[in-house]
Amino acid sequence: MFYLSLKTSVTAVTAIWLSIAVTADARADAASCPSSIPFGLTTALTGNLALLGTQARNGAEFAVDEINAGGGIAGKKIALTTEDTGASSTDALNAMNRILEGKPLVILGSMISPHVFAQTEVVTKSETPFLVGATNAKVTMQGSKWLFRTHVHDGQLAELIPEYLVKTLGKTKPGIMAVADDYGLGASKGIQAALAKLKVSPAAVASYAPSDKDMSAQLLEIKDKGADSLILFGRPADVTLVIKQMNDLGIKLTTIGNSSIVAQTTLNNLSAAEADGGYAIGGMIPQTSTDAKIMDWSKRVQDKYKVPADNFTVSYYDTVYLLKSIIEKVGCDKAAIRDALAATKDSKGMLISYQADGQGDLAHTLGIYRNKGKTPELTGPIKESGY
Amino acid sequence: MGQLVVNGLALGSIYALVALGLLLIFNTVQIVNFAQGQLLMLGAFIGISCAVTHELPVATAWAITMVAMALVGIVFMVLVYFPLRGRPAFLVILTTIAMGIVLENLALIVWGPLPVSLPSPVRGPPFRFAGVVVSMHQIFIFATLAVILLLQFFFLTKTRFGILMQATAQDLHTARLVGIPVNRTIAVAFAFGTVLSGIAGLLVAPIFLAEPTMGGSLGLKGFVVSVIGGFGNLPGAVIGGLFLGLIETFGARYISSNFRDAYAFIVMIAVLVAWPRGLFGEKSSEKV
Amino acid sequence: MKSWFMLALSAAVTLAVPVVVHDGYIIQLLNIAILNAIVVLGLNFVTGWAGQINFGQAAFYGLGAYTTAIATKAGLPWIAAPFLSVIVVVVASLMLGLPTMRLRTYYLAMTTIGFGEIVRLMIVHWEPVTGGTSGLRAIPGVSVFGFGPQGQMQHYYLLIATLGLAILIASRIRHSVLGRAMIATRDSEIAAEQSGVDTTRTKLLAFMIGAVYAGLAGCLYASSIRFISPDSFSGTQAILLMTMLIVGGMGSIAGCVVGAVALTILPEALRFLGQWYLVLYGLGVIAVIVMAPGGLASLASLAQLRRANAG
Repeated sequence: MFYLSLKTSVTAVTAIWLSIAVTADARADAASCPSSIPFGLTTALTGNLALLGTQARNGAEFAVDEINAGGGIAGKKIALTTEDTGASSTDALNAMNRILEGKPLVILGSMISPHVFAQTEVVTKSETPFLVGATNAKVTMQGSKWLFRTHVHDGQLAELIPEYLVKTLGKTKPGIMAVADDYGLGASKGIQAALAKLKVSPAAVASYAPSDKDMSAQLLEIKDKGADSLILFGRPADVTLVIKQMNDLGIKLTTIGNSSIVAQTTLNNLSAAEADGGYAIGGMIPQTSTDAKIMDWSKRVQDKYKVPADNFTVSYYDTVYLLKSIIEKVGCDKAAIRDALAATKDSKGMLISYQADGQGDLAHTLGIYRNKGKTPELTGPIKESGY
Repeated sequence: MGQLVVNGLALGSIYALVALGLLLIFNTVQIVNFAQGQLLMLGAFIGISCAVTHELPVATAWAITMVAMALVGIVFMVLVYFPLRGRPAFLVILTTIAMGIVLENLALIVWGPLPVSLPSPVRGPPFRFAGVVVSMHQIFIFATLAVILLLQFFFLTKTRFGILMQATAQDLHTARLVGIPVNRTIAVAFAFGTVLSGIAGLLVAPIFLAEPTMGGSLGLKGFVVSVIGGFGNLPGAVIGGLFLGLIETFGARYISSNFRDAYAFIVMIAVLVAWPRGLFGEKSSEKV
Repeated sequence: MKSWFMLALSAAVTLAVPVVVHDGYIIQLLNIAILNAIVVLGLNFVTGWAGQINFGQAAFYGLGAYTTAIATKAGLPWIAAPFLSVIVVVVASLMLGLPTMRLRTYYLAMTTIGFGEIVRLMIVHWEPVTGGTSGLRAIPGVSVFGFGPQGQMQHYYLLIATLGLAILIASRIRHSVLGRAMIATRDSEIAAEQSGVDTTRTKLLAFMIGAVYAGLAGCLYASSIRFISPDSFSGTQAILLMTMLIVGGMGSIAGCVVGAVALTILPEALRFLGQWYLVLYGLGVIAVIVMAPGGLASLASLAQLRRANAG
């Protein structure tokens, strides 16, 4: 009875040690985390940007539901509160004010840059970690140490697209066509600057209003001025029209642009002949993955939300899981979470790894895609210079 | 340059159709329907529901859409015209704007925001000559406009009912006094005007794709065209529409693509400053 | 007697609000509502009294806001901002008003829409100065001799005071020769002309005063919200301002305030309806126009009449 074998003693001691360790860990989390962990999300659910904005909700909500189904973070469930920013920046600010009333632990912001610009000051004052997908390069240059971005941004695109076009595809007279809003015009300026550094000058620089339907005048200008390629920066709805009309007019140009060229919503409305050959550089999309788990995830997301998942869906999904792993380590302390985010090093997401730089940008890996008929193919991942 | 002309005229034909629908209603009841663009959107989506969702042949889809739009026109008349008879013009403007908002958001709820395509009723490779590409669909647009204009001219001037409609347009009260079935002519005007917008929607969807917010801009251009041509003036609307299509296309190409939408308004304001009743003048006399 | 009491009561309630309601978000919302009320009061001169359709009011609002933002960010002392904003909007209103004095109803409506669109496009594409679609942020706040309101509550009182002034001036104008001329013009331009009213000058003045109201409201908007972007001054906003005027009660000063506050708070309060909110909003506007074209203000006076008759 009193003669315990060595094996039993070791097992017993190990068990006791483990339970102390586990209880200690749980106590660290339990002490700092409320029974329902409040996450806030502001994104455009109505208005003309809802097509984009709902992807943020889809990705975040899907992750939260998955985590909660698995027991939550260290046994505590996440309570995700979502507020609609609508279409105007003033509404976005109101939405953020409403979210802040609920005193969230962290806030996920939208991918629409003017909205994030409007919200940054008030979030910084509340000292809450603010994770956004907004892609205007200047978002992380506002000097707020609480703001982080978990999606690639237009500054990176503006560098990489011209470089790939000139160095890899060997084109030297691109025409530039961008949607005339913050997103497109900002990128167009960056692209022109990057081309200048490569000693290439564009044949023509054109833009179109977001609600424009007839882009033939701009396309004809680009063709008339002797362009050998087209850099196209817009949203799936308008990019679809540009590509369609380019084909209707019989204009054949090597086309490269942002992820709208390979977005499912674009490809759904193009014929194989129209879509074929288009290049895109942007946030990595799930469609080209051959990993069975990712394909299953994409299908489940599509089944639930009736729209295909895109690069933003993945980004917001990854962000929630990134936060989960951070909270598990440091508990529910906003300052600690912020510090952990700033120290992120090689955190694996679904398609890319995240690493924080001095400005708060965590995503530095982009994908290069090419359409084969109506199916995008991954030519390869491409990293921002220095990574 | 020839390509710009072709594309500009095709675009202008759409504007002309929207304006024609507007004017049919305006001529009869003096109401400018600021929801005309949303009716265009509705026509496009009904067509898509038939041709894409239910996979009916395109010709059938067109037929069903036209009938449906005629009914929508009548319902519109009941909801907007009857309650607002005699009210000041700008309350009517705001009511139709509000109707437009309702239609657009209902469409967003029912069909979602994703753009959808509609197949064209005509197929075939495009015509090419002298470096200009004219697609079969563009030819179809021109043909449709021509056919509608002919039908309308014939109907309004050569048939009995058409002449009654013109009489009602000239003076509603007198028309009623002499026993013209005024309510019937008004109903036909609403129905026909709405069908025209529906047809414009069916023509637009194959090239511009359809999504619920498509009506706003197209409707606005239709109003601008009506103003340029002069309210009440049908040939003026057609000429104005084609003219605007050309101006927008050439302006975007040679001046600046950024201000494309502004060209319509600038031309409109310029025309109005010189001719406050539009290029070809209003038909109806000013109401004191 | 009774109306004085009501006035005093509403004044007391208005002043007490931020003390009772500690919620920063609601006070911010009320501040926006007050600014909208001032803009709608301006619109009332043009549309409510002079009877001229005006879908360009949001453009004047925006011009005032952007002038102030650009001027103060460029380092000018704040006190210059309201003056600059007024100058800009007066010039703009003349540019809009002079060529359009001969236009009627639908033509005027289209022209004002066009004006609004052109202004918006200019703001969007003059990126180096206006920040384009990103807008302008970190706009300096109100500062006179180094003093300025800090925080939502102090801004609230400043804005309430401005609104009070705006109402007072509107009321004086209403009962002045100019005010009567405006209303005569609305009711019948030909008859007004016959009675010796210079309708062209009256309409132009209405436009200008309306623009000044909107421009000053824009100046305060930029200085208190501290962030502006073109989408807050778009055609959609212009329509919204019109509906505030109609729902509140065209021609009635109280109606302007009621309409503005109601239609600023309603979209926020009903956000949970999502896409359905806009559908209901549209239907609501139609209902008001069809059933109570005088707006909520007319319903209030109707109630007063009923009580008077019953008693």
